[in-house]
Amino acid sequence: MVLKRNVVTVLVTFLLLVGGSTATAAYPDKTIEFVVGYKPGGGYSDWAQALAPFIEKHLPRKTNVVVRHMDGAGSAIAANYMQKARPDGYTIGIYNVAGLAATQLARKVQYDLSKVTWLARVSYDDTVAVVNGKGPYKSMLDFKKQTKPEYVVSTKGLAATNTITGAVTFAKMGVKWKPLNHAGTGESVLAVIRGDADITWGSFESLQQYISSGDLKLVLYYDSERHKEFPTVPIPADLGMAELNESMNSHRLIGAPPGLAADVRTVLETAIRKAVEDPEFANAVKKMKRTPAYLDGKQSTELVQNVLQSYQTYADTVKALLSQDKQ
Amino acid sequence: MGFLSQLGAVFHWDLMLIMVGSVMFGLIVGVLPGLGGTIAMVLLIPLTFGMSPEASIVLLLAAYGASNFGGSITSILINTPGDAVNAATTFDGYPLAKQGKAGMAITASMFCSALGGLVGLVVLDLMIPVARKLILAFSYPDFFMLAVFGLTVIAVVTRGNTFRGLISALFGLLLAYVGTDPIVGGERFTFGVDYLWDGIDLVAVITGLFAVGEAYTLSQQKESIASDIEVKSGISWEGITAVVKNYWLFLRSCFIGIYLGMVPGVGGVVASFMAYGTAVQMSKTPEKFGKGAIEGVIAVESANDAKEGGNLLPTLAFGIPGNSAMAVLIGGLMMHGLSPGPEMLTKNIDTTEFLIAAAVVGKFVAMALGLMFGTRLIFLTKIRGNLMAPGIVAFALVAAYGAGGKLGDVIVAAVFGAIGVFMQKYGYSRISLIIALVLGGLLESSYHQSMTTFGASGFFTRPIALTLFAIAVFSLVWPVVRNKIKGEDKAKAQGVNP
Repeated sequence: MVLKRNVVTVLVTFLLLVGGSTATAAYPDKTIEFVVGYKPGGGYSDWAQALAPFIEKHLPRKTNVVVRHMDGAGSAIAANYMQKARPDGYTIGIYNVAGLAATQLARKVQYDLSKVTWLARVSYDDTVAVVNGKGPYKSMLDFKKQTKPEYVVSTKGLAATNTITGAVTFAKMGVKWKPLNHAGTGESVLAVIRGDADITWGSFESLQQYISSGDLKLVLYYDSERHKEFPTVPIPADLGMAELNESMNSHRLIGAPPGLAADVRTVLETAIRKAVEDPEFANAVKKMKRTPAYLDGKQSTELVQNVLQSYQTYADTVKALLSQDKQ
Repeated sequence: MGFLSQLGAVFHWDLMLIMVGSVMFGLIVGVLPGLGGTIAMVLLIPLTFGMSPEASIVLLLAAYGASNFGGSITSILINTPGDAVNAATTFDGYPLAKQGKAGMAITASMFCSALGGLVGLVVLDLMIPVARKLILAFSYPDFFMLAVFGLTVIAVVTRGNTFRGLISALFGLLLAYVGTDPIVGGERFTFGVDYLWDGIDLVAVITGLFAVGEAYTLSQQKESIASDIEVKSGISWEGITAVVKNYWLFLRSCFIGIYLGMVPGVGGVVASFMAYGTAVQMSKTPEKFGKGAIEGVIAVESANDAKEGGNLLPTLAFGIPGNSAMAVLIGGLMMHGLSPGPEMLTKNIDTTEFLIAAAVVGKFVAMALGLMFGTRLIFLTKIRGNLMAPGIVAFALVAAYGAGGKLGDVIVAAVFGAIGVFMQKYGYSRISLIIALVLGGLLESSYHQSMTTFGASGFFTRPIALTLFAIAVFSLVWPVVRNKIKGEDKAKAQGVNP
């Protein structure tokens, strides 16, 4: 009797194992959920919506890829969800790595960016510092003069990535400042145009229209090379802060829950790479006035480590920033 | 009025076909629980890829403009706002439906939405030459005083029961501060729950307090929402004459809508509540509000649609979206090579005029379709209460979920349903709670912003802020003074004729 039961157990286990491995071999055989941590209409949503049909096209069985918006808490809710999701390849997400790295440093969260299975980086966006187009400041060096006891920096909240970039930059330059916080880019830009704030930091993509209209003036461009259209605008290295050139720019990465099986990861990575390289996709992205900047899974993992490292380096500045009201 | 020259361009059969289809879509999205104009546009953007810029403008703006119309229908008929901007419509719209006057309320709402939209867009057109200066004239102390003025409404709506009104308002303020604080960006009153990081959702609270609470009351009765009263379906002339009679209220609400719409960050929801509050404060019969005053519906709906003209101003003049819907519109326009910003007022002025013309025509198409279909839904108020109640609860909970797709919102709606039942039972003001919840955030952030930029003196040295402060003080003091004068008159009259 006991023997019979043992045989049955062994058989069932064997069948389960075989079943399990065929399931992996057959991946993907059901809809893949593509999680976005923001509302529809923003940059992350646009990238995910544009990518989903092309990932679908290049998956072995053209399985559906459905975008799911899960906005809230600066995309931390989605990141937490991703952290806890089953690593079976049916849940992937687009991440705002810089923003989440800052949140991870400042708050108690469930996600851990160093554990996520990174599949690709699809784009990145340079950070810029801008001042009023017709205001008194001609360059970043004007702020070193400290003509006011404290300069007013317009922000989208103290924990926002761009605020941290600004705080680190001013800390390195020895400039005293105070924040003027807002809920969104529009309001924070308007504060500079109105003259209520002296300077603001943001992504080049979101601010370029105001720069080209002359309402805002570019004074610092965070990259390893100067921008072709603004050859006179310095990069951090020109001001002796080479380590800030790229470390704090925002990156859009696609990741999966920690512990994703290697074979599934390869399938997903290949599909995403083919999607980004698809000429039709390039056309669609061009229409949206966006530029892809692809990195594979391995390079993305290194990138995330670098980002986390640089935030750790500036942890003191970040923590001082976030405890401002307690001083 | 440059847009008049572009009207001809809008009246092309192909564009009008897109317009009618898009308005129908906008109305349906508006009626659907929890979904509003922003979602309507997001869903349509992929369709614009293959279209001309003109057709895309018509498609997006017509759907956006129509969604407000749809949202007000559910607010009136079953006390459930389709979107946060329609929330204040429930205050008097639903009591009117209970009195069998849903037809009148819907007609008035459609009529003021269309006319309000027209006023907003005409004012937008006239303001184009001074748009940039105008937008830059408003700053934080002005927003702060605006919020203070808005809060004084609570004193008026709770007259006769001030103590309970204040408790409700304080509860509302308390709720407004749950979430991420505007200074450090840290968590506040979130009890370790991620969902609370973004604060308590307004639509969820309103559907809970009003719709779920009302469904409970209905379930206790066998009568319909509009019990024992002959309910007329179809367009009600009474609704149109009510708007005409209250033309001053209508215009004032339009201007409140335009003014608040123009300021990025203040938001459309605040506009509708401020219009409602001002209507209550300036009314000779403030006690009627909340119990079925058509003025309440007129104020909210006209401000709601007039604000779109205001919203478009910073969008066109600076490329700065006045709200999330405008951000989506900017995205949609950019895909067609139009970049909102100063050029829209100079080089691309024809496109701007076309955009205004399309929005104006869209409003009237929406009114026609809204009146045609919206007034047919009045039969809902004739269904027996205990049959309607489960439907309303389901609709309300779906509305709470639909707005953000979060289960937390459904829980909030359910909890506030229970709170609403008790508030109603013991005479606490649900309207005060909502007003405080809406204005609390603006009050706090604009206070800190003012202190950073202008210091304390900023509140009393800027003309706009001072004017708003004076109005706030006046609106608090005037009822007392008026009562005193009335009392003295009475005493005098009694003295002469004992």
